[in-house]
Amino acid sequence: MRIIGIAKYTFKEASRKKIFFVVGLFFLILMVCSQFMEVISPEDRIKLMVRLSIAGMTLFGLISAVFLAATSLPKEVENKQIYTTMTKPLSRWGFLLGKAMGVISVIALLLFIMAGLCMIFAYFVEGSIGLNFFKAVMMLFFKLTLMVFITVMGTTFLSFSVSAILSLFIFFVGHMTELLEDIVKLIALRGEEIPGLWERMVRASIELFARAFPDFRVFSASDFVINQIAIPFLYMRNAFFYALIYILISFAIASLVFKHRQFT
Amino acid sequence: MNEIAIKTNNLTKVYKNFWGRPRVRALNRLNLEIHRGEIFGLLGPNGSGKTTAVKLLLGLLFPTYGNSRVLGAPAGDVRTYQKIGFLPEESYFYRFLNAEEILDFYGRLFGIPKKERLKKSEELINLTGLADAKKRRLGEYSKGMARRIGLAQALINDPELIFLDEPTSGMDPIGCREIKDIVLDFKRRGKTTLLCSHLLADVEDVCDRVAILHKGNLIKMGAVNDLLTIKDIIQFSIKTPSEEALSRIKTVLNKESEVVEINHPAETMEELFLETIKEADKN
Repeated sequence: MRIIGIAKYTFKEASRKKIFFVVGLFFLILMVCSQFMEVISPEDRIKLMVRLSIAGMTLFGLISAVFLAATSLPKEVENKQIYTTMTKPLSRWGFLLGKAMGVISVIALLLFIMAGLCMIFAYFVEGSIGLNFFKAVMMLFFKLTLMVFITVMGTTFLSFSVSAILSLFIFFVGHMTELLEDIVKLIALRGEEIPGLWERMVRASIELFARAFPDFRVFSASDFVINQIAIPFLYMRNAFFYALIYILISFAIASLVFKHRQFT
Repeated sequence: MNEIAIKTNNLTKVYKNFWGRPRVRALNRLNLEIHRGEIFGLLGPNGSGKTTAVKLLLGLLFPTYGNSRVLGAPAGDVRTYQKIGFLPEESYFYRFLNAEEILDFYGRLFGIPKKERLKKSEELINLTGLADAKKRRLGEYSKGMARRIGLAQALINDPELIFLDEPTSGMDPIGCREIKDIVLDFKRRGKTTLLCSHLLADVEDVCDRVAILHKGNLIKMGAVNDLLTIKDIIQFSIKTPSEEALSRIKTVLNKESEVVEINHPAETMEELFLETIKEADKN
């Protein structure tokens, strides 16, 4: 009840920032623009719409998730509302969980609005976007939920701006793990010829990045949707558990740091 | 009365710089015992360590040295918060909520059922005189109104122990009086209050005992009456004596001792102000 109380008011605060209106409007503009792009057939129009809407949802969802999660806790500390909240019978981890849940519920509603707008447009171009699209949205939701927890973790020891930048950095590195793995392989090949300390250090650093940061390709589903291949349940289940593991790690670190935080 | 609500043992707080080197010793070996049912005042100029002491007792800060117990549990124990109310030095609340919503929010954090929350919120809004502004966003509140809603949230759980940090700051004399009456009523119900203030009149009016802090050190502690009584002077109060009677009293007293002062007692400025406003309201 207490954690839900925090989540409810975090949601309320975000909604009063008119975030639903702003994101909805930008997404609507994107959908309208897609109607003016030249395509060969109505099927292509649907494909284009789906591609654009998933890209739009990822972009707007990511910005909203990182911005809301990054401001949520630091603002509470900066405005000193934390003094009254932290002296109520609520554990510190419960407070963090409530904050994260509030932001996640905002993201869920945003995705619901954007998916709904996409469906309406698909109806007017006499096409159907099908169940696969909603599975892809669900995968995106897992990804953004993970981003919320990573950002909340950052805010327990960093400022708003630094934690937002760090989260975005993790997001981009998480999409480049294939590239990083290739670089490691290349260095390994070179290392066999000249096994120097420098090569080993660079290789170890890149390997650390590639392994420590979540691989966001796990959540990628747009190719399935565009090529009209059903997203397998097993693929979704693996993505869910992959996100869950990183969420638990992020939340454990966040709780540990926040437990020892002082409010001067 | 003998039961202890708050006990500190050499409570010390040293703020450190980025490199971990001591920067300021905000509180130095504070030893306090506050009994249940009393109103205890922490007095001191700005920067004397009052707020640091309160934050340490509430678990918002961790001591560098020493320890403290609040309602029998170590300071900062989450379960103890159920029985504690806290009004911070400045009222910072969610600006987008109104009075009803903020009390509902804090009531929920105490796990109070909805029906009871609504009833309690209504009572507190009336008690703190915010009935006319209960639908207004807190961002539009004046400082005095923000203090009132701050007090209301501190009382939402009907606490056993309440921490009030500068409760009357930014309030007009009527508001100050109302807050003091609430604190006195709180005492009548057997509750404990720790009041921090640099406004001496507030502390004098309501506190049973006080501690004076200066630069983080406890420099004086005791019952208010004991500390303020000038023991070698006695004051008589006589209602409208005749000139002759007064002259005879003076003669007798002068024979035995030195008469320091004979004058008419004066009202305090607060009493005068409250009476004048009351009269004006009547007319």
